[in-house]
Amino acid sequence: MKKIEAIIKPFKLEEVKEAVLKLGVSGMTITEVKGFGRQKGHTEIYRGAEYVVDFLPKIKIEVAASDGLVPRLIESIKKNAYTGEIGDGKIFVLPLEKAIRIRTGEEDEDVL
Amino acid sequence: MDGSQELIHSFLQSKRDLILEFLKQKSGLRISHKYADLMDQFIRSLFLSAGFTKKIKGTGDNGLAIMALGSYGRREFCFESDVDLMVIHQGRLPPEMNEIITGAIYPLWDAKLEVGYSVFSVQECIRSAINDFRVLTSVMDGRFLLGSLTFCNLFEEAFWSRIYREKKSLLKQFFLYQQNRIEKYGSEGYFLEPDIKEGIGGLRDIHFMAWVARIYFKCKRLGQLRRFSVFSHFGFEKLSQSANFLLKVRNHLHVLSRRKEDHLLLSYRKELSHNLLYRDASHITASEKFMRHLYLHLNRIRFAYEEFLAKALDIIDPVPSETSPKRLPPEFRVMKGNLVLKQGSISEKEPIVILRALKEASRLGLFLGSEFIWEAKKIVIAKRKGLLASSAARDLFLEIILQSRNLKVIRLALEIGLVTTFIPEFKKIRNLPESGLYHVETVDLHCLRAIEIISEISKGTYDARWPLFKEIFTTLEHPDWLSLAAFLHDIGKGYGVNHSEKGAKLIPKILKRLGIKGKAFEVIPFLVTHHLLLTRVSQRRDLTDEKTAVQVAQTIRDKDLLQMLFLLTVADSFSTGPIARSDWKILLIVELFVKVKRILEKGGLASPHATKRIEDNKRLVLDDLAPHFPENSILELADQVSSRYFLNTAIEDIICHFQLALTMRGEKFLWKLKKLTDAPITRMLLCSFDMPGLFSKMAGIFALNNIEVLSVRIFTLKNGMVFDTYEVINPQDPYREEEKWDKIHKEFGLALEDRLPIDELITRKERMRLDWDRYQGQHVKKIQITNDVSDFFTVIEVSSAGKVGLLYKLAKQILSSDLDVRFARFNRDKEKITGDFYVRDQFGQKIHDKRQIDKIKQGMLTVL
Repeated sequence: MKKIEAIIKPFKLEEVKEAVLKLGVSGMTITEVKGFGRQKGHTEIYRGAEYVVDFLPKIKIEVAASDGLVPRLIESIKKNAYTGEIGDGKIFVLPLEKAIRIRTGEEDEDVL
Repeated sequence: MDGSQELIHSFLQSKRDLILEFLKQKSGLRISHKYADLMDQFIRSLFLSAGFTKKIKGTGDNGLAIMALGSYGRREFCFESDVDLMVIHQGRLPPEMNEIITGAIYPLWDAKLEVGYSVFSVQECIRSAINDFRVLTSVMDGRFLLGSLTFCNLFEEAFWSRIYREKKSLLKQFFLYQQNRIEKYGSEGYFLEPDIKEGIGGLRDIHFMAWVARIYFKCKRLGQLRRFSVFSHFGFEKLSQSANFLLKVRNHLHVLSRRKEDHLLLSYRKELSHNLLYRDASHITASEKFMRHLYLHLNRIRFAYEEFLAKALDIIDPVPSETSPKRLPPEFRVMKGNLVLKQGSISEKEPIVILRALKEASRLGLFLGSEFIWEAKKIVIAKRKGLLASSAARDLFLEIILQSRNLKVIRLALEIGLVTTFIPEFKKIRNLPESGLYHVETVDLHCLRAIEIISEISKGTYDARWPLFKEIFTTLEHPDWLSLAAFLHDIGKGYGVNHSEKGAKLIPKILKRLGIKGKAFEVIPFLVTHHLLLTRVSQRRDLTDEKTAVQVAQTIRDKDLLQMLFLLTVADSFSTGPIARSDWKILLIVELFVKVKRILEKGGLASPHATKRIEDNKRLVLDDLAPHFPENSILELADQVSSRYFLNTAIEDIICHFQLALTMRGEKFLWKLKKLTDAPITRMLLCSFDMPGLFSKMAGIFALNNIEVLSVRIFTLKNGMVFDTYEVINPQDPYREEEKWDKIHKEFGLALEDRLPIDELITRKERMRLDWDRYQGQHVKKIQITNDVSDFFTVIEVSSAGKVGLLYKLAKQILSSDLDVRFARFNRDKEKITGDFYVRDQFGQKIHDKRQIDKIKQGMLTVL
């Protein structure tokens, strides 16, 4: 089992969500986050005064998946979050030790 | 145990019968009482069968009582509520009592009841109650069940006398408790799925009032408060109707979920509304009807509670009475924070006095006295027509709504029916629950809050984080229109159609009724129609794509409208709830706003003329190409093309580029040559894929072939294609033109694959001293690099004396500075060249670094 965390551009959420759900993932967690990587903030000029936006709004998606599904998930997120420009985001894959469904107590693959 | 088995069996049977009876009838309270009675009977029998008698050794005749606590004590007892019991005793608990208690409690568990019980001596109980708020409130609702009634009364006397002594310190605990409740239950989740008991406006608010009445006014029942003059007009009957409704819902919820569930989850909503006999209608489903009803009661309780508290506190914890504020009209005076009439009663006066009172209360941050509130409602309803016909009343109404500094006053205007007198359309959104996930208020209250946010913006409440809001507000020519739009932005809800459009349609009639004239008839409906535009676009579209901002600018067209729409969007988001007003979402809206504003200020791209031209060109392309290509492919391609291209390109060229792009199929590039008839000029329309150096390669090949470039237009598409147009002087040898173009085509193909050493070839050519520098030195060289022209690109403006090969060198220089040319215009006549290059860095961002800008400038100057 792996946990996939992807940081993407806000307006790509719908496409990524749809694509990921199509792969048979039953749920995901979505968080509004702010941050920066190589794409530093930008400076908006408003009536002469600089309006500095140092952290950029992004979306974080978290999905837990069985090992077999991971390559397809990555491919799908990559494809759907892509614009070709800086700030398209990153995908992190983390090993997942255990998963438990609170209501039923089911574990691991049954939970996903 | 046989005896208790029988008791359990008979209790469960009676409970089942009671549930069946409940499902058939309407009252919530009556069934709760019946169920409490049934439970009383059951518990008494269990204790008796476990051996309980009044004569237990060691306690004396009068030393022990068993009490029902909490909701069971109040007899507001629902089918799955906890059975809270307390054994209260004097001195030490007789040892045989332990056995009796176990003997009575176990069967309760066997009957699948949730039982909580405590055993206290009088002193222990009072101590716990003082230290633990839950024990306190639970015992306050205590009721004698069995044992010694005399002892129970003595206990209650001791308990209450202690509570009365502690009432000052308890007040703090009360407020802390209520504050925690508001924090927990005031969120989006509990709006969508309200908690009938603990939620905002839930049964707890009524309990709370009853506790306050008991402790601070010594009234055993809430209704007894009526004898205090401040509460003489208080709507106790309506309150108890609402409590009855909630109890009924709560009992249904318990029956449906088969547990102590007070949280009205979405999954229960449909079945519950069905059980409560709601049925689907054409515009509104049974669930929606039910929720609307539910919110009518929740809101009613909530505001009754607020009013109750304000009045109760005047008595419990009075603020030193203030002198009448300055400029108060002589007909009023202020009493304990409430505005009241100086003389006489309201019914003797003209109804407009109500509006004057509201205006003064709003201005001075006061509330109205009880008489005002209760009489006003009747008067407003009775004198509706007169008020509507009076222009003075209308103006006052508008002033109250638009200048409001005090949400409570506008809400009062809503409660007493003033809002629906002047705007009957508001009835449709009264207590209407929102269906989205982000809301924390019903639609009517959301609209009131929106108007309050506008007033907060004007006062600079948000200056610390968003100074922009107030800055914009102060530049508005008609702030009133904005407030009115905020007030009416959701007026189209509840019709089952697109609410923005519906709302915009309703507005002219409302404005007319309010005596408003002029341009407001265009502006306000426009704002309402588009009140979701900025939110939607900012979250769903690419803000680094210029087209996104251009399209919004084309819709809005006017800077003032944009500013109002922006503030309306902010007010809407802020009044919706914490999720909608997250910093994250507001940042996106601000970014879009700033970019659209710039485009509108620069004119050009979004002017009405430009908008029309762009639309016309798109349509013409579609008409022309639809017979030859699938419509979808044409539209998809059009979506990739920038507004600048559609605006600045001749329609023949657009059609030609589209044709090339749609027939590419694996080619690296395609071009079409058009030889002009009236000048020795050829136009080359090129379609290719963007890659670093594409532009310099083309320029280089032209230089190598002695083709003079007169002008260039470069457009990069979102999908990475490029549409270029070059105008060049025809090859020098007219007899071998075709041969020359073939050569250029071949060389360009090689150059794209990096198989042609252009640099080397050009250096060699320069060494041959061909005629490169014919016009040098006659013009001033000028390079300007600016970020002000566009939010999306850094623009390099070049002007200089013309010389052959210069374009190549410029292109090469730009490439070596790691810049990506997205659009370019280059013109050359005999005397001089001018060029604008719209560039971004390799990461797609504008160049802000001063040193980098200087470096680029120096590099380009050496070329010139």
